[in-house]
Amino acid sequence: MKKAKFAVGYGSICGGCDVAFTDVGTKLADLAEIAEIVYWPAVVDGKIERLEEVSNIDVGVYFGAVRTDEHETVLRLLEEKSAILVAFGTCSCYGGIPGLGNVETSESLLATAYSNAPNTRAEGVPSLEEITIEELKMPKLRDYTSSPADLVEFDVFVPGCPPPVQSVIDLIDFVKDYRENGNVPDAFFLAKEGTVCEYCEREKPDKISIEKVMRVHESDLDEDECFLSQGVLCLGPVTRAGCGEEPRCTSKNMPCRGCFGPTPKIRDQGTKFLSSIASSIMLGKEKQISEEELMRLLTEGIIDPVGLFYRFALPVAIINRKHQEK
Amino acid sequence: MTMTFEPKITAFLCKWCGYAGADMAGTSRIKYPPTVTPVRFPCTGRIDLSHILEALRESDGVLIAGCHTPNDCHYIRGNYQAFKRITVLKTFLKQMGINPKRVRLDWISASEGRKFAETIHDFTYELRDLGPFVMEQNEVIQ
Repeated sequence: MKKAKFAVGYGSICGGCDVAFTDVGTKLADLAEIAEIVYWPAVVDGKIERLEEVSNIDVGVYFGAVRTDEHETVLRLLEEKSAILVAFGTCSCYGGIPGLGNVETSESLLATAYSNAPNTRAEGVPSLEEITIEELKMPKLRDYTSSPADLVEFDVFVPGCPPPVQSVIDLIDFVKDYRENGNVPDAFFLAKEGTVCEYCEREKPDKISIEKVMRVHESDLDEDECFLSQGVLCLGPVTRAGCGEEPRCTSKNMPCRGCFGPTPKIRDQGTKFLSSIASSIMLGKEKQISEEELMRLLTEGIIDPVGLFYRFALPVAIINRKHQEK
Repeated sequence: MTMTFEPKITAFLCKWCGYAGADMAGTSRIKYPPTVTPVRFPCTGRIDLSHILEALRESDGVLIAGCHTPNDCHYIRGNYQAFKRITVLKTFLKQMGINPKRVRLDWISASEGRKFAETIHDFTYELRDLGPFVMEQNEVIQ
């Protein structure tokens, strides 16, 4: 039987998704058996011309968010040539960690990286526009990060930062199934429908009232009790489950960071959680303290709402990029 | 002649106090600028932050008016829920570069028609100074 053509394109990535692939171990040999890797910068030669040449890709996988024009070119090429387009990793589903760059403008990001940071020499900041030196091109840095899922239509979504081993195995099975039977999955999430809390085995009280927002190192965590009732912010209630039989962070005694993105019923993960956390603070005991005291608790407890609540899904939030106001 | 900028305000009013207060302003024939679009809510505690943010995308400012703290709320402490949510929301707005003054929380009881009119006056003036709110968003296909 003919091998399926398999291509992986990169957006704004950290490399963790490549490592997630290697985590599956010997199953990776199956992929080599059933698929011919036509393009994957980390594995085979990764010149963009190569991707432009090949046609009829069976499975195209996209890693990362869209930050530069080059990222979108790769994404569009994959969309055009692939029978099944897969959004692999939280960045390509929701924008992910690179999406946090949207709290700054591109100019200020470059200024920090090239001149204002303490370990850099202030010798000018590169331009935002496309730079061409001889044959080398530096693509234009966009004003904001977008989630690839907003730009093209994917057939399969694999959330997770990085996606768990089981998701990669499932994805390899998809490739196998497509090669044998020609099945094209339709807008399919390799995750569960419910929230992380539904699968978390910690003891949850009926009513959660947070008297002081704590960070992990500040509290003596009880390993069997809900994080929220102990005052540690955990994104379990708004995050999609599916990172493991038992949620992978909460079972290791760390609060959920929300990498699986919003559950299907939520429009905006961060805003929803911001609302629910705000109302859980001193729940039912508001009248015992003054309004000033309550306000102090809230502003000192939640200093960085964007970094905490929108860590993985800022580009798909209701208000999703820096606004410039005088 | 130059056109002066008239802000658009979306007001989320609780049905027991804020909305009744707006009603009182009407029945008492108190004049206030025609800049406000009221939306009736059962309680300010029902208002989710996503309601406010969605409204903010389409208007220049959002007013939330409900029952006075500590003990006026019909549902005992719905007004505190609104207070807590909006305090946190303001931190978020600051981070995203939006002036937190565009979201305003006031306590207006059913008898305070005059206070409602004054609040609208005041907020309209404030928003005129701030200028129009144009939200640049990421493009989304669909």
